[in-house]
Amino acid sequence: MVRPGPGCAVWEITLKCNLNCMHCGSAAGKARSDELTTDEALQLCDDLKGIGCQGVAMMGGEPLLRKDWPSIAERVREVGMDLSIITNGYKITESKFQRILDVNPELVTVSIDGGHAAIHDKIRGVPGSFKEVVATLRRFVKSGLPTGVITTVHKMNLGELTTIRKLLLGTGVAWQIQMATPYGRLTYDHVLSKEEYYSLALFIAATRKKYSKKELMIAGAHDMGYFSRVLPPLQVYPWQGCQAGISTLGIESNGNILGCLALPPEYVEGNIRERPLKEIWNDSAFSSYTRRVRRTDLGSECASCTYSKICKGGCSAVSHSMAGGLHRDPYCLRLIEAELKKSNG
Amino acid sequence: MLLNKPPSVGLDILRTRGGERLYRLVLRIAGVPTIKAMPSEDLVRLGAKVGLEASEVDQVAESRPDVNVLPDWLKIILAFIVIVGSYYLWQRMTYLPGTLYGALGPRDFL
Repeated sequence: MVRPGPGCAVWEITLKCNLNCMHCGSAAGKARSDELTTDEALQLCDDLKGIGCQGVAMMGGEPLLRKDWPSIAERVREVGMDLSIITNGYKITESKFQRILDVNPELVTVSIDGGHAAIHDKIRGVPGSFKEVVATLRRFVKSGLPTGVITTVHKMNLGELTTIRKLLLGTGVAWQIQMATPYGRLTYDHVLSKEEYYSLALFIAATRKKYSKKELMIAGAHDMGYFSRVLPPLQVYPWQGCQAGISTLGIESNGNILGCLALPPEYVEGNIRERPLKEIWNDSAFSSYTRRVRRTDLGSECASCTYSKICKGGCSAVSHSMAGGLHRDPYCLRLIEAELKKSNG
Repeated sequence: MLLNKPPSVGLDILRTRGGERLYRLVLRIAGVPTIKAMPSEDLVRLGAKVGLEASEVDQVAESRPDVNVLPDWLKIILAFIVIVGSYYLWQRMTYLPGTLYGALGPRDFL
């Protein structure tokens, strides 16, 4: 059976990175020893188009450290897919900046994790990184490139949100906020508690309410939800369940394929060096954990929820890491509201 | 309190299909009473953790319509909207653009 292609393939083109972020889910630093060659990467662009993929989000590691990134980016554009580049914004030389402008992506996104240098630099593991990312952000905005900002929230930067908000107000960027999950380098003790997670949701909702889209575009990522009784929706599009292997696809720099890059290695379901992408994607067994969810797969709280058929138990990555299994995401606003109500008698 | 009452599935479907504004508008016009789904003091406390002022929290944590006291005529109208709207939106949204991880840009807010 031929499936519709993914809306977006999130592609780690290299694991090499010049920062050392405490929350990095892939523990990036050194390049993998077996990363795809330029020819293989270019062929993969064609293959992605071949399965009907609509866009590629190029990330790392730090994608701009891979020497042939412009060739890959250009091929993505040539075959008619949307391109977004996710960079840490560190050491973006003038020539790199010009190359980005030449490639003209649909979106370029930088990561900002603190409103102050002390916090951002501590999280990112390199002094001076805050100053550089802010300068990079300003260059992107000034150049007219559609620009996004990603903030990954954990205990260390929960208190930074209002300061980051001040920094971004009026810049015209799209601000995506996500919760850090305990993969890669992030340890469990830094993960938000459920109450802190609720505070984060409140922040997103309050900011959306307080500011117009012209002043600040803000949304929660895939792990910010779901179906609150108190708060309006936090995401741009209504949550329809985890999209791993349905409308998103994860690609590691060595050609490993999985439903979503946020998931750990045990969810790798093939490698393009061993099997064509088309076969992997169209395999009825691929990503069966999201493509065919039965009620019996859901955790007990999720199974009894009104929204179980739509939600299917929240974010797979959060559910796996925080509940030890899929389809039982405990970081659910609706669930937390019920727990708070219960604890208050 | 709403949290302990059985949910209204039909109306919830309207909300999940992107009809939150319509849902609230209809209920407001119909004069359906509202109730707080969560105590304000809890919300203010949680908001303070991320530097939100009480007024910001109050603005966002609106009272919800009490769907358990809907008049019958409104139930019929809403059921019609749910059926027609769901079919239309299902056609439009069966295929999603992706989780937008790293690909959320200004155009997505237009």
